[in-house]
Amino acid sequence: MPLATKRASVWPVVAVLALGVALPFLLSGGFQLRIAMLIWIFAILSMGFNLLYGYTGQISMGQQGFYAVGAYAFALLQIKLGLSPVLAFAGAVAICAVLGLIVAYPLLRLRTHYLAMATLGFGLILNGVANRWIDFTGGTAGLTVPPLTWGGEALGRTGIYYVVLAIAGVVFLLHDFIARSHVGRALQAIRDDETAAAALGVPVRRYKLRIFVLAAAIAAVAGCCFSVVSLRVDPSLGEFHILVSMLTIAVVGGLGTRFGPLIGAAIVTILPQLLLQFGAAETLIYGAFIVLFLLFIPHGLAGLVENVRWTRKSAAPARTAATNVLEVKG
Amino acid sequence: MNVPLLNVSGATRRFGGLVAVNEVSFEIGPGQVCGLIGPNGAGKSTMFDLITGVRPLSSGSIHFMGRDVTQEPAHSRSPMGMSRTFQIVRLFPGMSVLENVLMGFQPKFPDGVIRSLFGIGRLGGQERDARQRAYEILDFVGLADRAGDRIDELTLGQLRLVDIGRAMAASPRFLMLDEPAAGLNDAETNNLAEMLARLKADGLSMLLVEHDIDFIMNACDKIVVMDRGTKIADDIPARVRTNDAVIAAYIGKRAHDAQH
Repeated sequence: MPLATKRASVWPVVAVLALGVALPFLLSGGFQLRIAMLIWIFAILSMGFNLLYGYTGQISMGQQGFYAVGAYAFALLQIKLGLSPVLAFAGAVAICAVLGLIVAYPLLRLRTHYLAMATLGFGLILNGVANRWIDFTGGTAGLTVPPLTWGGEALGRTGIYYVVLAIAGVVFLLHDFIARSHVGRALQAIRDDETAAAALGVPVRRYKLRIFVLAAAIAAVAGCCFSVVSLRVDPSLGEFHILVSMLTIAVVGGLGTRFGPLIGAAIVTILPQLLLQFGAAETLIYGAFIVLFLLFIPHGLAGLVENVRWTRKSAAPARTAATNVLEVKG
Repeated sequence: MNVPLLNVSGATRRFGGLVAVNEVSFEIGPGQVCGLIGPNGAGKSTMFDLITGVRPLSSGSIHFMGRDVTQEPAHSRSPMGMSRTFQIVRLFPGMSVLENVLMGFQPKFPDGVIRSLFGIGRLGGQERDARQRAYEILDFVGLADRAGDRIDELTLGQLRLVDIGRAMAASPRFLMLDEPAAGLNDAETNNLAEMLARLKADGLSMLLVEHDIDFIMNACDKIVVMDRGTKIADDIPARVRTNDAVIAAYIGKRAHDAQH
């Protein structure tokens, strides 16, 4: 089956966002709206991971760390410095971007599982800080985040939903712009073959740094959104289950695809709720579901939807690994 | 030719105690096609890596169009007009044939996300032009009907042509080809030779590293011969063919005498 030769259109994204706008009118009750907000938040987090790992091939197992730092910074900038939510949001994203740069600079010379281990270590350090620096982070109890207000009154659930949707929409459009443009092609080139990418004028190291910083900033955006929704930040934000959710979303949705993060986030958020009726068997069924996905749809649902493009991806990492060996041997 | 297109001067590359390329100097003029040959282990591939910027020189210099590019990283050479192909085809397996060729236009697009967003109004037109040109290039190499195919659906000969097309997309002044005929059958080799001749007729300068002596004798204006890291000949093909040192290096007879 031939791959698309036409440039991808922005209209599917616009349609999805229009559905997002209509969602509060279609859903019944606050619980469903809360699920919808969680979907958008996980979609944001996963889009950063998708750009970094799916498109550029640089794995980071520390995204939950940036997610937590973003959420904590958003809370602390308001509590300790009395900043407005908008300024606290900008500050939290900026802090994570700078932190991302500091982490990426030494770590991005590593590849594959070495990079995974190093970034995982970064995540674990941050989690330790959140748990033990009790005076600053509130320890395991966490911090209470001041609610968003509008005209002196606390913003209602629907209002908060639209705030989250607006932010998610911007991230979604940015993610999609990168995925469809020459920038996305350059990132895929880096993922597939760094030497060839450099020969074609792609500044490989600079692009890897930039995308790592962007992914960290996007994780911070997701963290801020979570604080706004839950009104509480605690160390569980930076824990393993966030990373596992992100990886599950990648598997279910499809890495390196335009809609994988959103589709994956929707399924990973909704499915456990649907399985609750099975009681104790829920985890078992959920686990079996993930295994079936890995066996039969290894490139995710978006991979199925966006034609066969992803089926090539399995060859790419092996090829990169072989190239590395050659480079080391000189 | 007053200013040579490429000037390699005293290029040396050591790997620990091994001198892979030793004080090699040569020039390539505008419009010239230069071959780089030598027996296995002569240092051709290392020389090629030095010119493409994949490896740094231990000493010596390389000038391109009068400009010192010795310290330039590999990724800044394509925008200057130096494009290359790979011996072991290194196309991007995650992309279609067309997208692979589109990658050749990368330096013409805005650099990075922020600059691209500022230039978003012009981006659509740029992308359209690049796609148009990419189709023309695929047409030139005879693969227009394979634009949407995946890389693993093509033969080695076709992959080489896509690789050359991708290099051509950058509108190079100078094209460096690393063993373009390796692994090709006779028909594919002839097709390749005919295509390189057309590029040469358009005034493109080239450097060919090649094992196939007949291929290189026909394609080149001049040939640089290396043996054990040093240059042993630099002449027109007809005279290289009868050069004693070259024959000694290839046949092995009197190799020691030729060296000293």
